[in-house]
Amino acid sequence: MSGYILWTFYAFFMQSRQTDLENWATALSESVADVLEEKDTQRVQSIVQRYGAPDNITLRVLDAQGSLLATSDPQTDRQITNWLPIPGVLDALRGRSVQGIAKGVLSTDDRLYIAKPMTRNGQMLGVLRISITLEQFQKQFVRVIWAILAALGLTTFVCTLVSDRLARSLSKPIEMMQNFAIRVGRGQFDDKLVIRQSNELDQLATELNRMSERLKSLDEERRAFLANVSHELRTPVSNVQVTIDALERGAVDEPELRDRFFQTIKEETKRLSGLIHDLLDLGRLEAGVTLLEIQAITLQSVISRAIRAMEVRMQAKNVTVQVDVDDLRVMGDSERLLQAFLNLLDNAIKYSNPNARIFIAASCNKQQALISIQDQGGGIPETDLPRIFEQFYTTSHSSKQSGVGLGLAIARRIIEAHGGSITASSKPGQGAIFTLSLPLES
Amino acid sequence: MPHVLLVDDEAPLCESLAYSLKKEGYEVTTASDGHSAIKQFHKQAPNVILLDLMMPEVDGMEVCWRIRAFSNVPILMLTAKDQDVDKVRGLEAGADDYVTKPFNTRELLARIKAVLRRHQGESA
Ligand SMILES: Nc1ncnc2c1ncn2[C@@H]1O[C@H](COP(=O)(O)OP(=O)(O)OP(=O)(O)O)[C@@H](O)[C@H]1O
Ligand SMILES: [Mg+2]
Repeated sequence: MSGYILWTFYAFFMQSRQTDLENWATALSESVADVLEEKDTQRVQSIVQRYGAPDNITLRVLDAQGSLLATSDPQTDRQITNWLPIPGVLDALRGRSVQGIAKGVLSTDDRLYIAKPMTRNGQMLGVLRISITLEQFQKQFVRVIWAILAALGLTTFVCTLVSDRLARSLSKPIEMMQNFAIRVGRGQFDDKLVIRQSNELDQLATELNRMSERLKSLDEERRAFLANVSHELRTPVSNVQVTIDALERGAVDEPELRDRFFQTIKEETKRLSGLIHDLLDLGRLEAGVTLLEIQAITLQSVISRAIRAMEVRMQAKNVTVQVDVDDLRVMGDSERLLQAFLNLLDNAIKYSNPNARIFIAASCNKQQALISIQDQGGGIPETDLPRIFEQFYTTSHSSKQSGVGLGLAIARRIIEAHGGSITASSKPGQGAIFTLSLPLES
Repeated sequence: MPHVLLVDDEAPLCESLAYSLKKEGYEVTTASDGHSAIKQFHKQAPNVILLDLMMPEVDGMEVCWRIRAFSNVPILMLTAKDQDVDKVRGLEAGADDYVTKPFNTRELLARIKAVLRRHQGESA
C-alpha cells in the first residue's frame, strides 16, 4: 500500500520533471538553432552558460558531426573526446529526440537527460543535450520515504498498543465474568464480581452479582427448609421409637405407664401426620399443583365453620370471639379458605391470654372483601413481623406451645392463590391484627 | 450406679427414655431446657449427659460450652438435625459422641456405655 503510494508519488514527480525538461529543451533548441543558423558560436556559448547551472543543470550543444560546440561545464567536458557513446547523442544525431535517465557524463549521480536534434529546413544543425541531476531529488525522496516509513511504523505501533489495550480491557472483564459464572454454577455464591469500568460491562457485572445473591438466598432458603423439615420429621418419629422401645423394655407391664405411652404414640403419630399434611399442602400450593374449586361463596358461612371447629379450644381457654361480618360473597375455594381461617384463628387462640376476646370483622371496598382477625395477646415484635409468613418461622420467645411455623406460610399461599393478600400488624402488648383481602363476586 | 442427666425439650422422649435408662440400672435426672440443665448438673453431678441440640433459648451447643468450661464429664449429643456441619460443631463444642434422631434405644445404651468406659479409662 505505502509502496504503491510512494511509487505513484515518484512516478508523478519524474513525469512532471520530464515534461518540464522537454518544454525547456524545445524552447532552448529553437533559440540555439537560430543562433546556429547564423554560425554564431559565441552566442551559442553564452546561451549555454546562461541557462546552465554548475551543480544541477548541464547544457551541451553538439554539431551535426557530434563534436562539442558549447557546454555549461567546460571543466568536465574537456576530458571527453568522443561524444557519440554518451546516452541519447547518437539517437539525436539520427534525428530522434531522446529522453531518459543515465549516469552523469563523468560522475556517478543519476541524471535526467534529453537530447534533441536541431534541424532547419531539413538540415541537421546539431544536437542540444540537457541533463539535470536527480541527486537532490533522490535525497529528498529518500527522506520522504523514511518519514513515511517512520510515520507508518509509529501508526502501526500506536494502533497495536491501542487495540491491545482495548482488547485487554474487554477480554479481561469478560474472562473474569466467565470464571465468576463458572463458580456460581458450581454453587459458590460467596464472592462478588468487581469490575471498575463505566460501560455496559460493569452493568452486566452488577446484574451477575444480583443474580448470584438471589441464587445464594434461594440456596440458603432451600437448605434451611430441608434442615427444618428434617428436624420436624425426625422429632416425632424419634419420640415414637423411644416410646415403643420403652414399652418393649417392660413399660407394657405397668398399666398406668402403658396407657400413657400409648397415648404418647398416638399424639406423636398425629403430630407427624399433621406435619406431613402441612408439608404436602405447602408443596402443592408452592408448585401450583393445587386446583382451587373457585365459586361464589358467602364469607359468613366459611367464618362460622371455622369458629365452630375451634369452639372446644376456645372454651378451654375461656376465649370468646366477636364477629362483625357483612353479608359478602367472595370468589374462592371454601375448603381452602377454611383452612386459612383455621390457621389464623388457631394462632389468635394460641397467643391470646385466657379470658381474652378475638374480633373478626369483614367489610368491602370496590373490588375486594377485607377481613380482619384481631386478638388481645402479646402481639408480634416489630423485628419478627416481616418474617412470620416464612415457612418454619416462629418467634424466638414463643416456647413449646407454638407449632412448627407452617400455619401462616400456608395461609398466605392459600390467600395469594386466590389473588388476595394477607398482612400482619401489631403494637407491642396490644395483640396482633391480620388483614386479608379476597376478590368479591363480580 | 452411673447417674445420667437427660436434657431434651421433648417431654415424651424424656419420659420414655428415662424409663429405659432406669430399667438398665442408671439413675436418671431430666431437664427440659438449657437453664435447668446447668442447674441440675451442679446439683446432681451426673456421670454422663445426654443433650438435645435444638432447644429454645439456651440450646444444647451453649449448654455444652458452659459445662465444658469447668468439667470434662462425658457429653452425648442428641439431635434431629442431620447436617454434617452440625455434627462437626457439636464435636467442636466438646461433645464426646453424637446420636441422630430417630435412634434405637439399644444403640444409645451401647454408646453411653462406651463413653463411660472411655472416660473411666482416661481418668484412671
Ligand atoms: N396472633 C398472633 N399473636 C402473636 N404472635 C403470632 C400470632 N400469629 C402468629 N404469631 C407468631 O408468628 C409465628 C408464625 O406463626 P405460624 O402460624 O406460621 O406458626 P405457628 O403457629 O408457630 O405454628 P403452626 O401454625 O405451624 O402450628 C408464630 O410462631 C408466632 O410467634
Ligand atoms: Mg400457627
